[in-house]
Amino acid sequence: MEGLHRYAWTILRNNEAARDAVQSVFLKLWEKRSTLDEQQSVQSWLYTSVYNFCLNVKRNETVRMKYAAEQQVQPASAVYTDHLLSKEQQQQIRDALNSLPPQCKLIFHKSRFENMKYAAIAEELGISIKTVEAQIGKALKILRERLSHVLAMIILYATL
Amino acid sequence: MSQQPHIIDDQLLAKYLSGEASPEEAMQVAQWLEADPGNMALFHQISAAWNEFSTGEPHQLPDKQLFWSTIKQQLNQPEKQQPSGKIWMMRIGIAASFLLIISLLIRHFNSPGNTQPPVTADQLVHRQTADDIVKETLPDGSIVNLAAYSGISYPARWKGNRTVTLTGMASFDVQSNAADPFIVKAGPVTIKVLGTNFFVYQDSAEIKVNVHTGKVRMYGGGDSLTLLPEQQGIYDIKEKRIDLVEPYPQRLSKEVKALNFQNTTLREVAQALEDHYGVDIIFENRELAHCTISAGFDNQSLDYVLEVISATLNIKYRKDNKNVYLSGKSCE
Repeated sequence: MEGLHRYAWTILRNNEAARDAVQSVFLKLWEKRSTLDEQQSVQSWLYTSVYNFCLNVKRNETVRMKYAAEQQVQPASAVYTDHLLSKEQQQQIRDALNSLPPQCKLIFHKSRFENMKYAAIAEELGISIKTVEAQIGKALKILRERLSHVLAMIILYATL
Repeated sequence: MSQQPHIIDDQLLAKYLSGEASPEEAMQVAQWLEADPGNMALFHQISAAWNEFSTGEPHQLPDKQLFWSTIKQQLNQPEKQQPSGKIWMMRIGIAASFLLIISLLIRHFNSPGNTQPPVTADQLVHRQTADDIVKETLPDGSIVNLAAYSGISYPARWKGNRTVTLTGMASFDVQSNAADPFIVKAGPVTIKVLGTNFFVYQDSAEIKVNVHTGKVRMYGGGDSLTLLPEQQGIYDIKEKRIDLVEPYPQRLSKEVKALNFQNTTLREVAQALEDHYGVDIIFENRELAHCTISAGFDNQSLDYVLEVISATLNIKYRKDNKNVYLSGKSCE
């Protein structure tokens, strides 16, 4: 369940929406239990269903509005999620991002900060989606390498 | 980091983190995460940095109990029309069968490389930890303390030898029974004990066993070694050889220290730290005792734990021999 929820969250960026998606998929699994192909991997079915469900949610404007309105405020007590980093670490990440090569940096910004999909970035910049994938992968690699000593200090509780 | 866990393809991970991964790619990531506890830790680190500047809420798993009970409720009051020709069982029956399927599925996911749900005549018990630490009592009364991102499985009823299979790390307290040796399978290594207290550590390069009390016989790759108290056996996976270290380094702690805080007040945290590390914690600002924190630590040094707490709550700490002083204005 955890893996499915995490996957749904990466697409929807909302914990409740992700939870609803995974719950719905499990319910559907139950409904379809007799029709499922024995050879077929259940895991594969679940991941594919979550994917389709989430894309549907994104397409449906009214559903998205509902979740946006209900989005949780961060609790007052300090909860360690993978969002909290010290000020130094934040600065180091900023520096690492600033150090990215120009095209890489541009594409990365569009994806992370302008929330653009790969396809949209590719279209806007007139490049292939493969290029976008490669560039963002490169950004991750550079981030990882530059921050390896910093990352070692990050403690992550997370309910993941 | 000298021992890097196997890194997944950067492009794939970036796609996943960006929400662009296909179901197949997401499964690859899931499998990578399950392959080694180090991978999950690495993922958390990268994910933290990756999501650092995002707006919106960070990822948080839903409450497990609530998650499943909501599903159960929905089953008992089906909103959708029922498939024609099916005879529905009693309401309780539906929920129970559903949960059985789900538990089989969960077990299926938790055993990497499995393509079928393990439905065996001899029921296999499987316990898997995420970021928590779990204490499991085995059928003979032996105790296993499972570290985070570790797993243990064993038959519900032992016939003959007491065998358990371990992934990750755990400390064991095994009941004496000369007639039935207790056997731990950790990857390619087999550990045979008669009645003892010991600790097992696994990663992609080595498997280490620390013996606290009793006697342990370790087998791996054709090599074998008997370990006595204070001794450590290190099995090198590449070399297929077991080496002896005596005494074992104190850094690999004796017991898996379960320090798990969920919205715990700093006063209670301090008490737990005092018990575990044998120090005295003094609040220079008494109000700090009311701060709350949620964090989990396994096998960490006191300094590490203090670093986390002070960073999280934005307070300061000062160590003076066996005393720890906590100061600061208030927590953020």
